[in-house]
Amino acid sequence: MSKQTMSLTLHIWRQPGPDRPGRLVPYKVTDVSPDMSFLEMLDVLNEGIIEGKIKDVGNYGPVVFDHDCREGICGMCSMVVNGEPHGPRRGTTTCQLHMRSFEDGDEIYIEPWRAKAFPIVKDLVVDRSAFDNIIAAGGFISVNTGSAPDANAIPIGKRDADEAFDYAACIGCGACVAACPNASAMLFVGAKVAHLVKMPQGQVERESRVINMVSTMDDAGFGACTNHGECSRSCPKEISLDAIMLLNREYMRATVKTRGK
Amino acid sequence: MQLNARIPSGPIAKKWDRHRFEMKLVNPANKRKFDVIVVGSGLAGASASATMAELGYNVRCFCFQDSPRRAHSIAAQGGINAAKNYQNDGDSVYRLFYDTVKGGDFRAREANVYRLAQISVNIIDQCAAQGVPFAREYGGVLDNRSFGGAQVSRTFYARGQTGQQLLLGAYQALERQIGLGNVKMHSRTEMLDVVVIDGHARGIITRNLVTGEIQSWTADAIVLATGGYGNTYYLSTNAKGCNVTASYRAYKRGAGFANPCFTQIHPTCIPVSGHYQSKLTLMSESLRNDGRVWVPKKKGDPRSPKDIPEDERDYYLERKYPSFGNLVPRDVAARSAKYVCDEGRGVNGPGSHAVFLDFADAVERLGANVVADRYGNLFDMYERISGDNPYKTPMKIFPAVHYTMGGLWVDYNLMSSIPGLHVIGEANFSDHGANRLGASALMQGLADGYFILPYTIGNYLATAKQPKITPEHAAMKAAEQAVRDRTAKLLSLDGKRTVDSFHRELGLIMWDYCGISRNRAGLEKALQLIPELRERFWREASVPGSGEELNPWLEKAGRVADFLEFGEIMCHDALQREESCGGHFREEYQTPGGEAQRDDENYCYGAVWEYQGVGTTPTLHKEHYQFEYVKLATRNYK
Amino acid sequence: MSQQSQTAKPGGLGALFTSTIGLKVLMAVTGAALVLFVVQHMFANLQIFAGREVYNEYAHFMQSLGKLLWVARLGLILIVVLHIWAAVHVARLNDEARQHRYHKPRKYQVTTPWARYMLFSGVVIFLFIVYHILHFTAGLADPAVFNHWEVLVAGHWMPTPDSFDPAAAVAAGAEIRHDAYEMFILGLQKPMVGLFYVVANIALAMHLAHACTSMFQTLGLSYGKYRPFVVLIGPAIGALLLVGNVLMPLAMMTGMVQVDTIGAVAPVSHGGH
Repeated sequence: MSKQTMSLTLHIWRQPGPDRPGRLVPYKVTDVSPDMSFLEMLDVLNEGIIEGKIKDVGNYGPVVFDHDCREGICGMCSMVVNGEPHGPRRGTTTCQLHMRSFEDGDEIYIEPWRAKAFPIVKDLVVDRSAFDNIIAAGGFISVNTGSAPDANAIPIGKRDADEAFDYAACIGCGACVAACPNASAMLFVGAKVAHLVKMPQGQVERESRVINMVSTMDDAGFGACTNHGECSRSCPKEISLDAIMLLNREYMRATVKTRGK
Repeated sequence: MQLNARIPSGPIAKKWDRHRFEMKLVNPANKRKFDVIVVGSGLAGASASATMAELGYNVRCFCFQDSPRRAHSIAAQGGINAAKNYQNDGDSVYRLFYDTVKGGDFRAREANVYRLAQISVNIIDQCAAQGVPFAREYGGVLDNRSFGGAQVSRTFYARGQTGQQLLLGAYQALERQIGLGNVKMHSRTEMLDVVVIDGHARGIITRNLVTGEIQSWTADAIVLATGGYGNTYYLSTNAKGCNVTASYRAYKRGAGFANPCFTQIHPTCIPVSGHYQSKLTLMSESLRNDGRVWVPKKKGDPRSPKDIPEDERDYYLERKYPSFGNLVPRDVAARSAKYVCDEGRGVNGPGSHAVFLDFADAVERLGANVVADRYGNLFDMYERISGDNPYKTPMKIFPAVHYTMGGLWVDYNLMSSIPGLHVIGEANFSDHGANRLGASALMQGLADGYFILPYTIGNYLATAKQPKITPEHAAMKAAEQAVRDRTAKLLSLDGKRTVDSFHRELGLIMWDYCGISRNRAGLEKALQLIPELRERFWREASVPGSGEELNPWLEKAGRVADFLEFGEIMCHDALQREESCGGHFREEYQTPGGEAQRDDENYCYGAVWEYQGVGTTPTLHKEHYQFEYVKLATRNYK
Repeated sequence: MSQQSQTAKPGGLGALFTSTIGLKVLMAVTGAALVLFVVQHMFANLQIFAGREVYNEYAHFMQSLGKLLWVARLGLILIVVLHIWAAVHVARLNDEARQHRYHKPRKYQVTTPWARYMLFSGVVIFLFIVYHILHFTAGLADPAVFNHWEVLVAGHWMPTPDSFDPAAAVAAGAEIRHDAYEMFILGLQKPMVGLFYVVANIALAMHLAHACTSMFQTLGLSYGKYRPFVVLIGPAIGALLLVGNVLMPLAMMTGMVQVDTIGAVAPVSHGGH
């Protein structure tokens, strides 16, 4: 672990509210340890702003950003660092990004997820309730509590279970949308559809699930996938593009099977 | 305060059955006439909201995060226990019950723990049916592993992300009910008070974190599923947002708070790297299955681990506990790590607190591939945070606050001492006693949410027969005004110091005097320091911004203000419990061999505290535990 | 949140024109048809290298299809229209979906220039198609090049001089056919025209380099272990079309292929006549 500290210039998107104008505001931070996480570095910035040690350019006050677990699993943190969602390290959320990925004197640009379906709440915070609505439309297996058979009554091959898990690992952070040139949510939706379709329990609602989820996704104003692959590359859980392929396949199958119904 | 645990009579194996029969039911057609508020959307809150909505109740669910899926249950790594005996290795409901009571060092209520063990099997069925991708064997059946030193393999898991997968199952069930209109979800909304009318909990006051709007909500029953209070220590494995506010507000309104000093310090976390540290990250306990814990024999040994020869290493757990070795329970492992560091044998630089967790033997024995298969994601996470590669150099670990066994006191029906106020999951105190075993928190959260509360709340609703009230009720209005006033008071703080700096200071006090080990002098000192700190907080803290916007500093200030009062209760509790049990180790009470010495004669009770005003010692009530089935015995892991 | 039913919303073909995935499927299916057409078209045209007789025989065969030819043409136009309609629709949706741009531009990691400029290459291809139809199908862009005829003399199709009057010949009872061979070579000999054909085919190759792979993904055919192979399909088809289609204008612009009025292509030795 190197103990050399760094000085950085941060350009952070400041926007007081959803319908207020925003801009990139520069801040200087010094004494940044390489062992700090990116969010800890922002904590230090905010502490400096509150205590008056760091110049509060434009009097925006401390920077508001979403974060919670800070161990890469809750999916709350969400910022585009130097043009990359969650920053330069692959398979890593912003909270798990450490300052050793940067160098002394770096200029770092920090912006919120940008998508019509994720309106900005304040500064770097966006509203991702569209994702919840998509899950509410069909991202589940309808089994009321108490009505389950014995867990071993339905055998599931290890490969299928492992594959289902790979898709289920999605943390719903929205980096896929932020990364996509079209702000498409298909990796998110595809991951849930693929997780459930890989399991025998998910077969009963197979058609209605995908049709309802896609229709809710479209209504939310996400773009269409044009197969750039940026989503998968930016995904902190490295969910495969196969998710989108399976989503397309499931959607076509469902439209054919449900026609006229 | 009357503490009636309402434990059903009869043999332990029949209690829950009998109770379910004896409870009053709400007619299916009448269920929709009842409004239930659930605060929190983790495993307990989401599963309870979904299940009650399925039953037909009108549910309103609140969470402070932007989505119910983000609750901190999501971070649980290891697994979930269930007495399925799929491995045919002699497990049974009784054995899980026995292990849990014993693991909790005989400070839990037998009847509750037995019910938990019984229900554990239903949880796995329910979650599998929801599509939770549990680990499987090649033949398609569920895989199990032994966890946290259990002698049987009863832990179900989904790689290192079991909590995530279980929470997503519950979240999806919840979203389904939201989609059907049976649950109204209020995210980014924080509960700031409970309203008690005619002795019953009838409403809550919330603040919309985006708009700042303070609102009143009324209901026929309230459920708190608001998690634990580990963040009292500032540094813990909890999420940054975890807080005691909901529980503490309920306590201030008259709910008894039980065993607040029972905190779990998890032995395997990534150590602190600097003053800026904002949280600690857990490395799953499963690592101890193959990793060996050691420190150099020599104090302040400056050599790098690979230069320290085998005979100059102290594998202290294997030495002290030959039969359990590296798999001793969490409290024992954590304490041992503290001791070797206190001796000056820590391995993270001068004055440091860390020990090695070494996989060199495992890599040699199993090959790097097998090790990667078992722990790859954990090793990656460690490398991301620390910058070291655990395949090549031993991990550095140190204990960190992880879970709180204490919580609001509840009876067998999971109702607090305020009628109508139910408490589930980590927020209550009931099942883990003084120490929680690995893979049992997920079990308890889901047992409460899916299978216990949805039945017992019906009994309350069917018998309480309280009149309907509206948010216009005078008591609601008064509580709402009190929340407004407090918010204004917090916003008026314009000192020089950040709220976080006070929180950090409180954390250090708690860690030093009410942490891995405690003693009278230290606790008394803490009880002197905390009120002083609290006073300085209200004088010197700074809260920027306004109340009509998303203002994380305002939120934090309110939570820290509550921690600053609550820390005192924890110390009072630790001080009165003059014994060592589970996560509570009083240095004055140990065996000559340095092990915890329990005092069953005088302290076999749950300590339930009743609020008497800020800074005033709360009143202690006792729920005496009866052990009819598991014989009181000393835990021995030698 | 409003009460909502959890039964499936109507699916069926309607979804093809309304949902994002439907639009993409529509693009993929129409695109696939167009790819088959352009590949077929290229191989057919490569017959130019086989000489006048072969080429004009083929052209005559196509002409003789009559109504069938018109069905094919209208079908193709319909497919092109659908393809463009879907593309414009998706492009508009996608543009709206981003709404506010990043100030520090996104640092793209894996996407390709051809994937990002599909709309641009599509526009170039569209303009080219319009010109190409005016040029070689309707004969309006360059009538002097278009108006070449062969006449049947003693069982052999013979080229005619520029002064040939097809109407008079038909009135005189001669059997004539369109000399596509001369039209093709003379048309592309003109540097600006030839250059436009080259540019358009570069655009086409770029378009297909992304499109053909994308098509498999959209139609759900690029699963797991096949993905590395599918990823190569687009660039492979793009390259194939680039080589085949650019070879022809280049050969004509450089004079490597010239009209041999005797009746066959004269492969010219280096340095020309």
